[in-house]
Amino acid sequence: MPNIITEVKTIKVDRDCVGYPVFISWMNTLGGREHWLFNKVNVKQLDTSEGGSFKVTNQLLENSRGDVFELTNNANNVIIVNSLVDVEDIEGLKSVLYSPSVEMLSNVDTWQTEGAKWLNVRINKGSFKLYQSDQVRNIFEIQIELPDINIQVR
Amino acid sequence: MAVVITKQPQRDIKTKKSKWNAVHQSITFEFQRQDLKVIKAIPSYEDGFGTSKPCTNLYFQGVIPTALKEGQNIIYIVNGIKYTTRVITIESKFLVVEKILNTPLNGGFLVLKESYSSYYLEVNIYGVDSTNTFELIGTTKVTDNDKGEVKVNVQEWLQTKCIFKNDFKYNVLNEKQIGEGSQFNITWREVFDGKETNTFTTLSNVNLFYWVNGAKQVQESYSQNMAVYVPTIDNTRTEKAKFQSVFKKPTYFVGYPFSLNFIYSDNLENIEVNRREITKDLNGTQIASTTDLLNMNSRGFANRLMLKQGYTSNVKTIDVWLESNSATIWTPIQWTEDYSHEVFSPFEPFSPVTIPYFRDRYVYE
Repeated sequence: MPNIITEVKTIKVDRDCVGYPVFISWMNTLGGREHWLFNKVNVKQLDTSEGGSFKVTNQLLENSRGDVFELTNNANNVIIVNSLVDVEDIEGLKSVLYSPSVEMLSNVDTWQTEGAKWLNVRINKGSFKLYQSDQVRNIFEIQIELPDINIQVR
Repeated sequence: MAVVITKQPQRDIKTKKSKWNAVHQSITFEFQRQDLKVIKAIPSYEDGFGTSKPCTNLYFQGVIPTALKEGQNIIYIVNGIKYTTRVITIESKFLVVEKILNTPLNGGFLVLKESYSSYYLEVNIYGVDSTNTFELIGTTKVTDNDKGEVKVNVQEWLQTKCIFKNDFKYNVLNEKQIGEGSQFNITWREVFDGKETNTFTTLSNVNLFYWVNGAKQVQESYSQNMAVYVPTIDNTRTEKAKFQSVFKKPTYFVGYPFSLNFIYSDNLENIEVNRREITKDLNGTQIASTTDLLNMNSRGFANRLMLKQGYTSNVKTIDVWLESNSATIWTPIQWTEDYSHEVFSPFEPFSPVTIPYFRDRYVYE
């Protein structure tokens, strides 16, 4: 007779089609990888910040092009994704918010033939209202920072 | 000189062991210096006839170290209690030391801190690379405390072997992930008087320890040990090993990658393991039951487990678990070098032996 040596884990099968699929994999604190399919909200955001500037002095004013110049800038695209989920799933999903390794499947349509390609992304940090306990299903929404846009440096 | 392991990073799961540890917390080996074993400690008098100053006779096992001199302070540890005393005279089979006991005691050992200067334990930490070969990750030197105990935390060396990127190909039933959890071992030697002449203990490929790229939480059972997630062959174990998922019921999105992490533990080394799946419809009625044999070459590492997939459209949930199959033979992983000896002799508490009756200096108070 076989011995059962692990817990019995129930896996839910989801066949729902998602309009703009964003598939995320992340490492939880137990050392395991989790997976979830989000829907991209039709909002695209670009975060920019200054990468430093310098000031020019002692110049001939009549030929001057100005006195403050930027060294470079930082910029990265941010996408907002969400998913309508059961409350019990949010207990698992919240681990993506503090995971040290979050990856996004970058070849959603072709991964089965060419192998999965993952893009390292970051989840925007902050305080999150996870769910209302009186609701059976809740929207779980996160902002994903894509890799930086490479920009020239003076 | 001798040093023995008194504590290893392992915990009991009923009658089995878990040697799997969260690598982002301390993974500690504890050693005890035992510079000279004691057979028996007996209260006596310095002249041996009860007419002079009380003292204690420590009958020792083996040869008295030449470094031990009269007048030196020594530490006698017996039954976990530490006695600090001073050597009055050295006889051929016992030491006369300043009085520490009122009644005789069996066993124990001496720590001779003043006999050996600049003592430390040098420990090599070995990991296992992708070709199943030991690799030296680092070396540490740790001094002993006032009881001759040495505590060696190897966590920060093992942590360097973690791989955070997702390298699983999602194309096999199960596969080891060496960056998510692997094996390690240590060797050590004692160094003192500035001489690094002792040889290291032999590296073992049998008695291994394991790490997982995880972190346990405050007040969780088994502390830093991953025992909750370590499968054992034990019908009486009511809390079976968990998969490493924080979801109560993970979701498989059809057409996308999916895997479950589990520890393919050393407890399963001599048994084949099956993945069993029972698919169910919306009403929870069973549709099919399947078993598939796991790839045993991934034993002893953190593993990913895939689902069978290709389900009919009426399948709404899948119950999945691992179960034992036929007995098999564990072939230890072949290292490229021959490390064929056990490193860890189990710590054997010293057994008291009957000592010969010495007429002189044998007086009870």
